Amino acid sequence: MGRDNYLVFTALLVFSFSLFNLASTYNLIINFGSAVTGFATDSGVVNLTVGSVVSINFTNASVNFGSGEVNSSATFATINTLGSVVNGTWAPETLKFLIINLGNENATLNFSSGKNASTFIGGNVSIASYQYNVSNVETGACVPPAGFSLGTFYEVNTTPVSREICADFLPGKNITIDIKLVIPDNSNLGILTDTVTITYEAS
Amino acid sequence: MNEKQRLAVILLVIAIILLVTSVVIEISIAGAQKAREEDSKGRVSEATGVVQLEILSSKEGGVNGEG
Repeated sequence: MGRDNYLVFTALLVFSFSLFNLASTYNLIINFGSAVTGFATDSGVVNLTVGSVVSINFTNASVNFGSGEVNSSATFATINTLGSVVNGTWAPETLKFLIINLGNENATLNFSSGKNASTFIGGNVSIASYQYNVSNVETGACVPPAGFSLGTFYEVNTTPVSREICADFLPGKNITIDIKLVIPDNSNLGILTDTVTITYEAS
Repeated sequence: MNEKQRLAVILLVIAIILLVTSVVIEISIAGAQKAREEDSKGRVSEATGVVQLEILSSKEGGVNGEG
């Protein structure tokens, strides 16, 4: 009889431990799901862990200069998204790439394009040019890396092909990328398209 | 097997099932947390935009390049 009581007592002990362990596991599941629970009779502290998210989005993902031609009296035309058209018949364009950091972490941004001036615009290689210019919308939105300046036009696809443009792009902030094209009078004709890519990761 | 022994066996079986389940869940969660952390740190993503224009011939309508 005494041995049976000891057996039941031991079984109850193990069962209680398993229940305690189950409660611990339940708490782990709740924390993993980023849910918040708390109970206090007087005062207490709720610790909340917000998962890190890195997300960059093009608010405006299209720059379309429309149709135009180089003035017959000129050897090249220059157009950009600052609204400037020189020696060409394109309508002034001010819609530029607008990029926002939707995440909650600083991000590092790299810029690259699918084509360079020769493959995109064609014509006289010493004249054709395809450039981009990164600017902050809010002060301090993008902290540029060493050797790269905001507000300056750079030729695309020069070395390195994918260039770091922001060492730290702050959450909730915006940057713009202007595009500038120099089009020789013997350039490619028709509708020309290129895709620019921003690669990003948490900085 | 008397009543107390049966009760002890049932409790032990339930306890073992609960313990094994807890251990499996905790191991799974630990693995998922590690994967989540590595994913958010090392992941490189991308976003794309398009540049487009149409270039018309300025020499159109002429012969030998005459406008």
